Amino acid sequence: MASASQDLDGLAEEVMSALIAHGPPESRAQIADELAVLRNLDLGSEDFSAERFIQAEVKRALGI
Amino acid sequence: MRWEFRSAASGGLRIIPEIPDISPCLLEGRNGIGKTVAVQLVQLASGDVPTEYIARPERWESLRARLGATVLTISGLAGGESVAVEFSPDNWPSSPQGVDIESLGSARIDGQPASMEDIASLLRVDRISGNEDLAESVERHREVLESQLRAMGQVIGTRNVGVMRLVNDFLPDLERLTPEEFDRQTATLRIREAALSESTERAARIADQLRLAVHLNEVIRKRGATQGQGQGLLVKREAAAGRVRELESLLSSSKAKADELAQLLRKQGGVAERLADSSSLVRSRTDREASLARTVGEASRKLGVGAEPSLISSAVEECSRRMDDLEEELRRLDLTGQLKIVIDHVAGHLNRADRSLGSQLLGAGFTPELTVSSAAAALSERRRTIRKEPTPEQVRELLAEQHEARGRHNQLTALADQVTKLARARELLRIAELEYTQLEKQAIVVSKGVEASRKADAEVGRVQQELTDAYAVLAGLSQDLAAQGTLSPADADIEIQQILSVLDIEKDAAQDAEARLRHESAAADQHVEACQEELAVARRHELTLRSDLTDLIDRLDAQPWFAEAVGGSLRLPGGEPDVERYWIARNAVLVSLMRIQQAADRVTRLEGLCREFLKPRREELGTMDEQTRSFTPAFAQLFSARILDALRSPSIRRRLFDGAEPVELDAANRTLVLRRSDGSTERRPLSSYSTGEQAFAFTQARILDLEASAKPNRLLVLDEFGAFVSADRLPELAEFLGSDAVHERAGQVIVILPLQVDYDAEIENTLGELRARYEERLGQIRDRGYCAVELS
Repeated sequence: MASASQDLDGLAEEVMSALIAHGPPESRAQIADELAVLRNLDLGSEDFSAERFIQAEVKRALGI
Repeated sequence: MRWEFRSAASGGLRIIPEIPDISPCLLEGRNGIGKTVAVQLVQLASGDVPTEYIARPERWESLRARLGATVLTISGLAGGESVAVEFSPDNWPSSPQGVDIESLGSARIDGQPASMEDIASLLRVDRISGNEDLAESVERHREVLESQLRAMGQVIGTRNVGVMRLVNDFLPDLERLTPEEFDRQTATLRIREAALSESTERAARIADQLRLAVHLNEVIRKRGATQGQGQGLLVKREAAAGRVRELESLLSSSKAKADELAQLLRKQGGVAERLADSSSLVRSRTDREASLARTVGEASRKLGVGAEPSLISSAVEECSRRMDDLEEELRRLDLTGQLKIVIDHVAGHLNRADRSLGSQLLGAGFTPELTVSSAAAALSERRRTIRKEPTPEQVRELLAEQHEARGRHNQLTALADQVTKLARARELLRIAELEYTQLEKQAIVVSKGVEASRKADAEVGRVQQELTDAYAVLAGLSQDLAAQGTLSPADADIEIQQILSVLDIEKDAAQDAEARLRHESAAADQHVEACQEELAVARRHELTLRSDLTDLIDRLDAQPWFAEAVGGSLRLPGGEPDVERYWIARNAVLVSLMRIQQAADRVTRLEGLCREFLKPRREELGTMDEQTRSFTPAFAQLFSARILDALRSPSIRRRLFDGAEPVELDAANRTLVLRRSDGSTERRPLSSYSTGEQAFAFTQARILDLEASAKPNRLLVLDEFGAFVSADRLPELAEFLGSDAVHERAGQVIVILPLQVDYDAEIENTLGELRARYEERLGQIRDRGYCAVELS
C-alpha cells in the first residue's frame, strides 16, 4: 500500500544504520539484531500480522 | 489549474472556496480565512501529509475532527483532465504517520471513479515557508524527526502488543522451560545418582566391616569358651588328624618300597618287567581315584548333597531357581523406586483435581467405583506403604544372598565335574587292575621278586584304603565341630589375626570397633536413605519438566500459526518431542520479543535526545542516563546528515555560503562549519543567516533546488511571506517567480500572504493603476474575505 507520509521502514533503516555506523561499538551487534527484527515488523504497513512475524522469525531460526 | 473547494467543515474550520488558474497567484486575506488549509488539502490529494501535521500530530487530529466531507475539484490539469476528491476524515488514522492514501477519500477523474493513488500520480505540491531562515529550517527538521521517531516508537509499541497478545498464553512456560534448566536438572540427577552410588558402596563397606567385627568377637568368645562335648570333639579331631598324618607317612614309605621292588622286577625283563609297569600303573590310578574320592566327599558333605549325578543335578536346578527368584526380588525393589515417582506424579494431579472433581468417575469397570477422590486416597496410601522401600538393608541382604547362591551354584557345578572325573578314574583303575591280574596269571613261575612286589602293592592298597577312611573320619569330625561352632584355639588364633589385620585394629579394641561400626553402619544407612530421597525428588522434578515440555509442545502444535512456523510439528516421526527444534523455536520467539522491546526503548531514547538536541543549553542531555547519552554522537551524525544533505545543493552553496560547502553542523553551539574551495574552514553561527536578505536568498535557492518531478502537474506554494513584503521585496519576488527558471519547475505558483493593506482606508488615497488594483482586491475581499490575483 502506498503511504502518504515518510515510510517508517525507511526511517528505521536510516536511524538504526546511523546507530550501527556511529554508535558505541559494543552496541552495534545488538542494534543490527534489532534492525533485523524491525524489518519483519513491517512498520510502514497497515496489514501487520503478529502471526506472520513470529512465523518469519521462527522459520529464519530453524532455517526453513 | 483551477482549484475549487466545497467545504463541509465545522467547528470554526474555514476553507477558501477557490484558487483561480493564475500563476504566479497572490492569495491575500485575513488570517483564519482558510488559505493555508486549502493548500494543505491539495497537498493531501497529491499523496503527501504536510510536515506541520507530522511535527504537530494534534493539528492532524483537529483537522480530522472538523473537516467533514469537503470536496476538492481541480480543472485545467495538464492533459485536460479534471478531478474531484471527496475527503472522508472519518476513515483517517489517528496518527499522520504512515497514512494509507486510499483512506483519505474517494476520487473521480473526468467523472469516472478513480483511486486516490490515481490522483496522486497526476499531482505534486511543493510548499516552502517564506518566513523560514536557516536556523528555523534546522529546527523544523528536528521537529519532523522527533515526530517521526515518536510515530515509529508508537508503531513498534503497537506491534509489540500484538505479538505479546499472540504468545501471551505460552510465555510463562516458554520462559521457564529453558535448555539451561534441563541441563541443570540433568546435572543434578547425575550428581544425586553418583551420591547414592557412593553412599551405598560406603554403607556396604561398613556393613562388611561390621560383619567381620561381629564375627571376630564371636571367634574370640568361642576360643575362650570351648568346653564339654566341643572339647571332646576337638580331642577326637586332633587324634584323627594325627592318624591321617601317620597313614600319609606310611603310605609314602609303602609306595617307595613298592616302587623299589618294581624297579628290580623291571630289570628281569619279560613278564616281570610288564608286571612291574602294570603294578606302577595300578598304584598311580589308585592315588588318583583316592584323591578325587576325597575331594568329592568333602564337597558333598560341605554342600549337603549326595555324590550322585542325579542328586547334584537336582541341587543345581534348585539353586538356579533361587537365583532367578533373587533377581526378580531385586528388580522389584528397583521398580519400587520408579513406581514411587509415577505415584507422586499422578497423585499430585489427582490431589489438585480432588477439590473440584472428587466425585467424578476416573475409570470404568471398578467396584467400588474408581473416583478421582478414591484414586487419590489409594495412591496416597500406596505411597505411604512404600515410602521407605527399598531400605539399604533389604538391598544389601538380597545382594549377599545372591552372591551366596552364585557361589553354591558354582560349587555344585564343580562337584558334578569332579564326580564325572571320579567315575572315569575308577573305570581306569579297574582296567589297570584287570591287566595286572592277567599278567600275574602269565607269570607261571613266580619268583621271589614277584611275590615281594605283589605283597608291597597289597600293602600300598591297604594303607591307601585306611587313609581314605581316616580322611572321612577327620572330615566328619570337622563338620561336627563346624556345626557346633567350635574352633580349635590354633584355628581361632589364625582367624582372629586375619580379621584384626583386615580391620586394622588391636585385639583389645575388638568390642569398641563393633560398637563403633554399628553406629557408623546405621548412620551410613540413613545417609543412603537420604540420598535415595534426594534422587527421587530429582527424578520427579525431571519427570515434571519433561511432562510440562511435552504439554507445551502439544499446545503450541495445536496453534495453526505455530505449526506453520515450524513446518508442521515439533514432534519427531516416532512421536517423541523434538526438543532440539523446540529450543531453537523458543529462543527465536523470546529473542524477537526482546529485540522489539529493546528497539522500542532505543527509539524512545532517541526521541528524547532529539527533543533536547537543539536547546541552547543542553542541560537536559546531562540528566539523561549513560546509555542514552552514549548515542549522542551517532544521533548528531544522523541529524547533521539530514541537514547537510539539504544545504549542499549548488544553489544554496552559491546564494548563502559563497560557494563554500557545509561540512558539519554543530548543534550544541548552533554553528555551521563551511569548507571553502581552498580547503580552509570557517565556523559560522546559524543566526548569521537570519536577515531578510539571507532568508530570501535561502528561499530562492530552495526553489531552484526543486528536483524534477515525474508527475505532470506541479504546484509551488510559498506560504508565510510577510517578511518579504514588509521588506518591500514583493516586486523582486514576483520577478523571480515569473522567471523561466521557476516556470520550468512548477506549472503554477501561489504566494500566500496575510492582509497587507487596509484597502477600505487606503483606496481613497490612491490613483490610477494602483487604485484599479486596490479596487479589484477590495471587491474580492468584500465578497469572500480574500483576494486571488496575479502577483505583481
